Amino acid sequence: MAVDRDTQFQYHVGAWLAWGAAAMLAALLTRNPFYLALVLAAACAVNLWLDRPSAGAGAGTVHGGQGPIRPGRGMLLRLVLGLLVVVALFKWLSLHSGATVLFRLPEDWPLIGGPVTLEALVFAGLDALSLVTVLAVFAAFSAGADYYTLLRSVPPFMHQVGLVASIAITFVPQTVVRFVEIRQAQALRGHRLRRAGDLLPLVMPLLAGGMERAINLAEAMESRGFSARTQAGSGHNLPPRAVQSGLVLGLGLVLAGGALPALLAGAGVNTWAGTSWAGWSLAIAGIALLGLTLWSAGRAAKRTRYRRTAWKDADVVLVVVSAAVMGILLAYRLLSPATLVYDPLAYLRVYVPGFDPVLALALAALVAPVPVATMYKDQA
Amino acid sequence: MAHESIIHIQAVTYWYPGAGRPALDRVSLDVEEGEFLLVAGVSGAGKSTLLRLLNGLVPHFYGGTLSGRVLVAGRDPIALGPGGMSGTVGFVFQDPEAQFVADVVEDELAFSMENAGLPLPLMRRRMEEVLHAVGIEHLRGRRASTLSGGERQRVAIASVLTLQPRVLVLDEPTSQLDPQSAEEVLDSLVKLNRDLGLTIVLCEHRLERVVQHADRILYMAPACPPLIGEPEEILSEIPMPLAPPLVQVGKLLGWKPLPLTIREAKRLVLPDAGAGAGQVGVGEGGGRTSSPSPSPSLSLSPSPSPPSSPAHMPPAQPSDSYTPIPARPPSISMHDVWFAYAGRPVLRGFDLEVRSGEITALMGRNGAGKTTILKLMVGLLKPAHGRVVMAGLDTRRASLEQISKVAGYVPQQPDVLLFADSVQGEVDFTRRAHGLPPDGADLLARLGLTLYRWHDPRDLSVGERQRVALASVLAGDPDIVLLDEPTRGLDYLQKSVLAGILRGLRDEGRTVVLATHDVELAAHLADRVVLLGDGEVIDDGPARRVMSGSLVFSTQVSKLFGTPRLLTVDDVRAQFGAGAGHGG
Repeated sequence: MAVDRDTQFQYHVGAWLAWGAAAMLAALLTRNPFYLALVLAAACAVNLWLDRPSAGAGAGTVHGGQGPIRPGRGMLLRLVLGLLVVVALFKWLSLHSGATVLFRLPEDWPLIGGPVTLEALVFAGLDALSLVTVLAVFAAFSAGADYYTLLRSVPPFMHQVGLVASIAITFVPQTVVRFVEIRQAQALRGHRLRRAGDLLPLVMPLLAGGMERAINLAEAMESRGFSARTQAGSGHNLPPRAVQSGLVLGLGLVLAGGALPALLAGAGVNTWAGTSWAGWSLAIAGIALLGLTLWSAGRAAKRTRYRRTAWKDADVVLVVVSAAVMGILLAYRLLSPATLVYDPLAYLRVYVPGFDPVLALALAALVAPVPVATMYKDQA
Repeated sequence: MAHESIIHIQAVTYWYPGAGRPALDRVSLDVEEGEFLLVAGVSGAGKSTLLRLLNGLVPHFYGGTLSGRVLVAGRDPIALGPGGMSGTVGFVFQDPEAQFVADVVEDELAFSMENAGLPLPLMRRRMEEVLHAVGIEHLRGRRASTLSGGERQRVAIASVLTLQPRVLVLDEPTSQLDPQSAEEVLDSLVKLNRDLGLTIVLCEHRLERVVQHADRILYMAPACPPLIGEPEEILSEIPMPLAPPLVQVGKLLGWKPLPLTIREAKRLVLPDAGAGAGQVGVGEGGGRTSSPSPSPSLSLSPSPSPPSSPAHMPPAQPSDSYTPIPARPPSISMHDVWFAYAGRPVLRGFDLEVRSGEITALMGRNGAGKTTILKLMVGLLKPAHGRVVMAGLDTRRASLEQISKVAGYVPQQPDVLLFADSVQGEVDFTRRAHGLPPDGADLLARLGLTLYRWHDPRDLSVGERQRVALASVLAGDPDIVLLDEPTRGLDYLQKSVLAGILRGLRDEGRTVVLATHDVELAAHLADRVVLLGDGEVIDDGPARRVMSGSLVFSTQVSKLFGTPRLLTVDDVRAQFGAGAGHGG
């Protein structure tokens, strides 16, 4: 099949996680319109790149930018943006501080009555921009993430949980589609939703269908050697009783550690510094025991993992860039936190936000997934 | 040990938990390595149960009680269970959508190998080998959601082959597919069977798709011991309505041996191929006279286009465009309709008029736009541009409530409609919703559901549930009935029952529109066939003309005789009369 080679490009899950972490950190740490705009622009560019027609559902490639929440994303987007506008508007009208008064609402109006200021407007707008940026970063990350691989990259003792979660995610869009089918078919049959009892014709077929699918899937999985039981003869078998006692004991230690200082205090015993230390050590011992038990239980299941994508140079580049961005952000946060933030309310007046070229350059580098993919596309 | 059979079932009796009668009753079976075994029979005869016995899903997954002995490749599925048998028996299920665990084809293939704990280098090698063997290398990076039904089933087959099983078991793998996709899947299977010597056990309703590939047929019927033997032998013994059309024709005309492929049958139609004379051959064993009115139209035409012969029946004039005999008013009209799903155009300037009192079949591959057209007709979807008028209602302006008074819609999966705890409950619900007095005894009797009136619909078979869904729609007394793929998963018998019901509706003056890729049903039933391809009408006319001119959407009988006059077994029976019919 003559598929555009560019569409086949996919980052390793680890590299993609690194980018997602860096972009999210940037969106959460900065509160300056210039920086936020840069992060937003980078996230949008990545979104567009993932959405490009050659990578869409039609081409059907892995990196098709087709996250599981794809159906109905447009509606979700409109809903979220609408909500943001309402929240920002309310915030603007209800924050009455700032020197530049634009107009006054009657004082006897609850909450929003009083002076309405330019500073509050800028503040509320900045708040909204910050939220939009976070959402854009999340959308870009989830559109490019390969959920299946992501969930299956969990440590072995979580294997079952990860697998079930990955299957559940593929169930979501199918369930939505099925629900629409049911609603339409029942509506044509004369069904109207007027009271709670009318939900039955919609919910019953959905549940029955879901059950049937689940049973079919369970059958298929059993037939292909997936079993909830640990396989015999793998040499690492831990008796179930040992697993159970390990879990119970571990949990008990954690709880005891957490409750110890409170118990001692409640009993009227003088709390001295040692109590909290004792509590902490108990809790840590409990966590260690839990981890050890789960780890050994995980080892008992003899499974291997198929890796579709190997680390490529592009992944290394993306990780290095992401790490650098995170490093710079954290350095600023520790050394001069004021650089990251713009707050007109604190000074009660609107002023020109600061602009640090080094930081701006670092944030602009968040667009990296796009140029790196283009540079290395021959490797795909 | 020279003739050790790969599957050995000895006197197995099995009850599902709480069942009144055994699902399998003293069944014995031996299958040789490399054999292609077709399991056939009516619904509820225990076919699926037998297949699940082979990898231990029965009794491990379902419980119940079992007696007897089973050995597959020397291993005991009853002791080992499905997990333990996964390396020996590969199992492919009916629903292409409900057996995927991963999002991407390659991960799907890896799943079994990961469970078996194979080392990575071996996994990579097996991956390449299996992708190649099934011929799906080009799908490796695709998302499951973007695959067609046929592609999905081939991926499902590949994903069980990665463990190199010695037996491949398939439970109606093509029942949800259109004819072309079914052929893709079967071609893959035949190749695996021939090239790798893989033993295949396959259960299927549409025998005409599979009989020519099978080495033997196991025929199962409720409450009698299963028959097993060569395809010709079994097909000549099983009841008429269950046999594929070609075999029915062969039986009618007394051909021996019974033909399994069109090629074999064509030799019998025309023993003297050189002369091209229009004689229907009669099997040597039969010794009966041929057709009472031999006509040139019985000769074989190598081209798919129907021969221009003087025809006795008005609709048989192949060159004519479609003109309905009485000019009926249109019941549904679609004019210049444009529609797109998520930016992908499905219909571009689509025109169609459905006349009232007719059965119209929309035919075409999956994805040709059949369901979209049905949903546009009943206003579930609104055209982006253009007009859809149904029974005088413009669907863009009319509410669903108005539309639901005149039209009924039976979706592809009947289960979407069923929620009540009894069949009568389903009927009552619809009648209440339409403000009609509770009733339904007549309706249920007509649909053959009287017996199940107080049963839970979910306990019934697929064919019965289909009829309950139809009853729940007909309870509102709609003038127009639309059905989406109504024969999914039905056997020949259930299909003919459904066909009878739909014909009854037409005779009452109702309009019936069905979207289907079931060629035999459309030929049997439809007054008019609209052939769709990529959202456009490719051909439109009486079933007889459209279907005899098509390569893909054409019945076995039509492929065999190549004349529009003979489309179904009934046509053959009428043409060649009683003389041929009751001899064999």
